[in-house]
Amino acid sequence: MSFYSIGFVLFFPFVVLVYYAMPKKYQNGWLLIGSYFFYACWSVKHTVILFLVTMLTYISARAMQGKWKKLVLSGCLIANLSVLLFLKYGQYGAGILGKIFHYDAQISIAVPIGLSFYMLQALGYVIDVYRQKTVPEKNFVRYALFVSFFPTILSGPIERSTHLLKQIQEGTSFSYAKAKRGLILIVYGFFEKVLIADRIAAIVDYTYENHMEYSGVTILFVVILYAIQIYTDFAGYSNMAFGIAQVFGFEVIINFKQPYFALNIRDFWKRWHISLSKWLQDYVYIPLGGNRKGKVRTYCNLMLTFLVSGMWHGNGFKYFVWGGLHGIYQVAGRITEKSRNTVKGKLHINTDCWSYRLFQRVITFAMVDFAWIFFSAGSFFDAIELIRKIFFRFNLLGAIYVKEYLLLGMEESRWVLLFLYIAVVGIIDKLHEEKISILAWFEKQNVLFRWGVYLMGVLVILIGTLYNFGTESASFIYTRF
Amino acid sequence: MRTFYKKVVLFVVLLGGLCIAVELMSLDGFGRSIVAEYTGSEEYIAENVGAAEIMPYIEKVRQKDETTILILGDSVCNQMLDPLQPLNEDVCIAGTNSAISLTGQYILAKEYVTNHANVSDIYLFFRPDSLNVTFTTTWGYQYAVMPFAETDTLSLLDADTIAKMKAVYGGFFMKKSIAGMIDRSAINRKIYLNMLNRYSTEYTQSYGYEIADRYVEKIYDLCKENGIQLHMLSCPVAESERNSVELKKSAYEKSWLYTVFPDFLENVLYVEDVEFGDGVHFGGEYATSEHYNEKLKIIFGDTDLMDVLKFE
Repeated sequence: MSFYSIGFVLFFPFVVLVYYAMPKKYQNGWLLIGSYFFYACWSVKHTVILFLVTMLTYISARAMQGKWKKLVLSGCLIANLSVLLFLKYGQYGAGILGKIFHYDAQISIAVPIGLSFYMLQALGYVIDVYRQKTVPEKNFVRYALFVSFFPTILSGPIERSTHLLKQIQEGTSFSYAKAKRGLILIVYGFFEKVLIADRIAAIVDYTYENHMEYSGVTILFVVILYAIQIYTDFAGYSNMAFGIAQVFGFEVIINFKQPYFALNIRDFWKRWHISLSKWLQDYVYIPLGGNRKGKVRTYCNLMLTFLVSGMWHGNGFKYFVWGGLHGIYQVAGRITEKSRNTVKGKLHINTDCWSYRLFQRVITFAMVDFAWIFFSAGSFFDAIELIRKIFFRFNLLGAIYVKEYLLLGMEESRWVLLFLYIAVVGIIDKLHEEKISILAWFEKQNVLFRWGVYLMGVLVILIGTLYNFGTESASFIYTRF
Repeated sequence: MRTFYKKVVLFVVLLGGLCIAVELMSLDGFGRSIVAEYTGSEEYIAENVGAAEIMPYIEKVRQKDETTILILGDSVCNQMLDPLQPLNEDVCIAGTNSAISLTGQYILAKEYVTNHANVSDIYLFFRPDSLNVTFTTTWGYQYAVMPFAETDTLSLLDADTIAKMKAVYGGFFMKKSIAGMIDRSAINRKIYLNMLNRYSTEYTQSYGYEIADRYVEKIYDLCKENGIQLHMLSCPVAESERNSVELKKSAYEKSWLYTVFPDFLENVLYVEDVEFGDGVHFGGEYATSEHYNEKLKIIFGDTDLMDVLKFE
């Protein structure tokens, strides 16, 4: 069941109504039933894996007492990571081995949806218990709900025991302000997903499939669109997840903070998929030694962390390259930091002005977008082909002359609408960047104006949904991981 | 919490009102094309397909006139015989589309006989494949249901067939008013046809000629009751389809159709593949009245129709 399926439109209000109608002590149980039902709608078979992972981590955390602590943790990590590696990379690995040893490696493994997310969440909890940051949860229902909480199970945010589990333990009660904010965020998430990400998805998929027909400038244009697609897709999902959780009275981790306003790559990773970055920092980078063991070790740790991040995203070599590129960006950034500052000082470059920040943002975006080529292309070699075209067959004048953008499968009026929608997201992000709360401003407006905007907003999204209906609309990109 | 629920309900009611307004706009007038454009559903009303294609033929067979011969058939029949209609005022040519299935052909025959006093002959002129058409989730609704629901003629089918159709298309969508709303609005068509294609499955016939047997027999009985001669002939078929037609023979020989029209598959006129544009309909330089007439003279050569039909 996807957030934008007819089933969910019925499921969500029903779960909310019953949740608030029942006594507080049963609320977690009800939400757990709802979460398992939600997940089972994707696959009953994979629900068993979810349950087993939950059981294993629950028992491990409870068993983590005395001198066997380390052994239990190691066993739990090995068992869970083996499951993750087998399900996620088994098919890919068998294929590679098949090529090397010349045998037919026809095995098919369906990766459970959301596995990478709930697995990290559960492992984070076990490590937190080991580090005594969290007390092992005795109540299985509460813990199972923490792992399977339906707003976050498919694509995160990857929650922490110190955050979500704590709220589950304390319980929630109805908050008018939270519920209202939640609904607004759900609608905004829909807007990002349906009106922007899905529209761009059709263009990107078509262009990547037929890239031989396009000039480098058009490919570059589509690569930039992809950066917007993946942002609006994932941020759209995260906003919906955040909003749904808020309706139940829960706060989940904010996953995005205007990532394309980042001034450098380090800043980008503080704004993009924050829950994963933080998880990798706390459970991979710091245990490896972080920046405490000298420069070379820091660089190695950074590279390793980003390679793990790449591998977490998928089982193709392209993801490895994508992670590696971000690692290189970070390492290169640190190595050159001093010399760059020296140059800036000698040239008397004013770094505290709007134009310099814009320059930094453009450079950061270009680097991030370059890495997205590997992320989005069908394979590593497809990505190389796209890059080759961008650099060696740019052909700007030719593309303008034949209006190549019109050959991307969308009419001129649709382009105008798409850019209008992108501008709305851009303005909202800019206001958030300036710490201006749109909701607070909106709350001060006349009730007729507010309701008019709400109604028209939902109507526009509905019409947009109908526009995409019947086409192979893109699923949420991050649910594939 | 109560205030919140009240506001949510009010919001849903207002939104529902807006949706109804958009729905009404999508049915007629200027709003129809605007809604179609903004919902990306222009293609659903752009072509003359489905009910728009079939309903004129329902009107045609219902029209009380002096014709005494009815020709029914599929789109190949339509392609070959429709140009002859202006020359043949005594004959009602109503070749339509195989997608209306044999149920649709029966309704056309029944309506014609009801509205004409001295009917002498009914000719069924199909490609062999057209006899196997079932209630599909692709073209089935637009052809086999929509035009007949809108003209209140679905009731001419037997209860068992209606039940089978309901299982595929949903009884609600076979009502006259609902079929009309789906027909008139591009967005309604887009939603319903996509949902149908995604969530429903076509009717699987117990054997390949189940529907054809039942409804050609009904046409046969209708003719018998009214002293009408029934003929069934095959449209020309591409040479490359010879094998598949041969393969159909064993199943055909077990059907009721074989007892009345044993030569139907034997007398198929095979034509060079090059004459067909899409493998089914004549195309290119072969899509001319002269060429059709040449073939028709061969196919109808042994029938009384040749004495009646004017080609020039």
